[in-house]
Amino acid sequence: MTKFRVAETMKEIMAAYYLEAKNAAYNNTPVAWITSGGPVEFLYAMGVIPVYPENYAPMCSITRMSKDLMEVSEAAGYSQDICSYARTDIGADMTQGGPILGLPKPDMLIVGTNICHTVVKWFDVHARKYNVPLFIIDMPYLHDDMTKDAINYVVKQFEAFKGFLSGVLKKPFNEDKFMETLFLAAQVSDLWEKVLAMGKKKPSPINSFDTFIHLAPIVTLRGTQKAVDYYTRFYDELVELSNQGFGSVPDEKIRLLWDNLPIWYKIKYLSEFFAKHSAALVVSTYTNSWAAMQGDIDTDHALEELARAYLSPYINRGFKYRTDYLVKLVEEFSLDGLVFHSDRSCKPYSIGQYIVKEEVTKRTGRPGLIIEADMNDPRVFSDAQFETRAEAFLESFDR
Amino acid sequence: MFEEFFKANRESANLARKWKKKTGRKIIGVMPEYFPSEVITALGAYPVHFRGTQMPLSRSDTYMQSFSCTTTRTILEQALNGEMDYVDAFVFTTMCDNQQNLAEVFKNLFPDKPVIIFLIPFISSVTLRQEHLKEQIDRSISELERVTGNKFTKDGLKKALMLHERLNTLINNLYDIRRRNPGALSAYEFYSIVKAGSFLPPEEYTGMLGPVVKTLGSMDVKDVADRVIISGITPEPLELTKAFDEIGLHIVDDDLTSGTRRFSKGALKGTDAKSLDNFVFGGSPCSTLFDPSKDRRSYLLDKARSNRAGVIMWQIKFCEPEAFERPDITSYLKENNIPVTSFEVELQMASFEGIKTRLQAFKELMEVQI
Ligand code: SF4
Ligand code: SF4
Repeated sequence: MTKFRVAETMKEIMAAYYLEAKNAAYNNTPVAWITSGGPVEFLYAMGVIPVYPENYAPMCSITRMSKDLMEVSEAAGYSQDICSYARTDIGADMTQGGPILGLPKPDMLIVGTNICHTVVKWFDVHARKYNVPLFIIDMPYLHDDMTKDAINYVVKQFEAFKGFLSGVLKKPFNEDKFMETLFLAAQVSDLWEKVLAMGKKKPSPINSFDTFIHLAPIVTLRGTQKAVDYYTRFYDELVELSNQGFGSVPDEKIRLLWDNLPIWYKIKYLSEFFAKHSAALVVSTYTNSWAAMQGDIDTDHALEELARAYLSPYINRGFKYRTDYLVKLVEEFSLDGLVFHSDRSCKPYSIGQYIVKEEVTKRTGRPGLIIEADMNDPRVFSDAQFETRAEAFLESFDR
Repeated sequence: MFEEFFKANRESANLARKWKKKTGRKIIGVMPEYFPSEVITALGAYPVHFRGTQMPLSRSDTYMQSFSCTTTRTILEQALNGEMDYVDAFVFTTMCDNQQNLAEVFKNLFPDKPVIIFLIPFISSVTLRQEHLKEQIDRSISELERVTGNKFTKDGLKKALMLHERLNTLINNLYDIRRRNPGALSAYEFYSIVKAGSFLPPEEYTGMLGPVVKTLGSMDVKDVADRVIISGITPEPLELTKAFDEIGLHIVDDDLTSGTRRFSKGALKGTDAKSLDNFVFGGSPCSTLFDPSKDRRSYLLDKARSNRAGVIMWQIKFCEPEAFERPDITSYLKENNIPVTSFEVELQMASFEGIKTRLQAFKELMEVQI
């Protein structure tokens, strides 16, 4: 993984964020647990601290704590076959273990269905335990194109969400702060897109393992000035590096795409493995999902634009869209091949990859590699199996 | 008395082909669960439901990973084996991630057969939920009109609603008879009757059910011990119900998506928003729906108490909706002194020895506890 100057800043802002969240109760600040695809802008507008179990679970994984935490929830009856983020998070919640000793207690739970139905079941477990309000925003999977009906459906729920927040917090919804947050969120999204687009450079100054790590602020702090400042600096640093001809993988020869969630507990290992083979993962469908809302917001249609952005993530789209999108990325990022992480935990992301992979290869001539693994459960990853398959794949690029 | 039903299950594809030829009606394949098949009947077509079935898996492995539930994998296997060749179009609901992605797999692999999507709302606002369902059904109907070439009329709907109402009443009668007199028929017989309804045209099925319900209803009540309620999605593989019969565990009721959850709300009453909402959300608590007004734990507790029964959770491997609810339900029932156990199946399973041992042990446990 590349050592960027801004990395220190990220550590600082994330530490400050978690500290503030942990101290929320002392400061009388309400806390919401929210899914990664949930509309956080509304929370910032109302002074609620958003906390992401889906950000916390990978933290447990990177710090090698996920296995023990999962074993706790499994012993309590949660099947090994459900999403490992949920198992990790429930285990951490039961033990108040894990980094920073668990998450601060929620005052409310917010779910967006634009990533999966799993989160509905998962947050419902917490709703039963904590007996706090659970608000679900249905952002339906787009089997075909984006439709006006789907957008309207989400917009109406955003309106209802404002009402929900003002009811729970007993104060009117702060429209001014909301608009301000939206502008900041769009700016961050824009910057993030620019950061990711640096992967088009040859050699690429950044790779997917870097973007996985630097994703934390855009997920958790989207809509804040801190995030804008951070990604501005990050982007400037990347431009500077690229101007110097810097490549995040020395001697970059093979350019690849990563599909699906990262394998958090193996990030370092995988990053070294691909670098050793002069292969750079220059783009990923996963990190791209946070770059949906960009540019100037038309204040008169802000909710429509927001709805459109929240309906857009790759995981929320049908296979035809997925295929077309990958074909486009092959072109834009000059890819030689595609790596698909078939993630045992994440059914909506993974089921269909075999089909999409074949189709993309047919259309672009670029081969694909499937890695069977799990994003948070180290027990299902086999180094030997991975290396045999990946080496054969990489050797097929006769360079 | 039950042979016709067994046969329907054994030869479902052939039967469907036969009926199609005989009646000239289009056939719509309905994927589980919560699409009102009444509107298909109203359009002069005939709904065939696919809920997964016991069969070896091979071809589907090329397209779906082994961590997709076997309900979806066996459905795909059936399609790849040509066992759905007679289907003119498919209707999918989106009650879970596996199902949602299976719809995309079908669109991709069988491009000649239209796939109609009926999105189930996972939403907090009940008003918006109803509005959304109305939009979904209106769109589905117009797509079905195109597939069937028929117009959706008030009259057609009225007739279909009456037919399905009768069917639903008969099934509920059958459930009532079993609650009252669990010794009247075996678990295998009971669930074979219910399953056959997936494949037979509603008129035909209703005709077959009537006499059976009448005969069973007039049988003498035998009190039975070792009473259980099964809870889960669907009692597949069906062969496994025989193990209950062999061991002498009497299923008196269920909490299955393809059973009580489906029939307890009655048939569709109309295509207005409220009726649709009642059709989808009006039944007993379901793991595949989001409805905070219902609590499955207390529902099962009441059911277990009123039936003097233990609870067995029939879990399909990789079924997240169920797996997320199991721990809370299990501990709640245990706290309330209801014997409870669970086992996990995959639909392609051929041997049930391990599960049988567990069921036997559970029977012994119940004999001490109840
Ligand atoms: S990993 Fe997949 S299944 Fe799990 S919460 Fe994320 S999107 Fe949902
Ligand atoms: S509800 Fe469960 S068994 Fe049914 S398709 Fe979904 S995951 Fe599979």
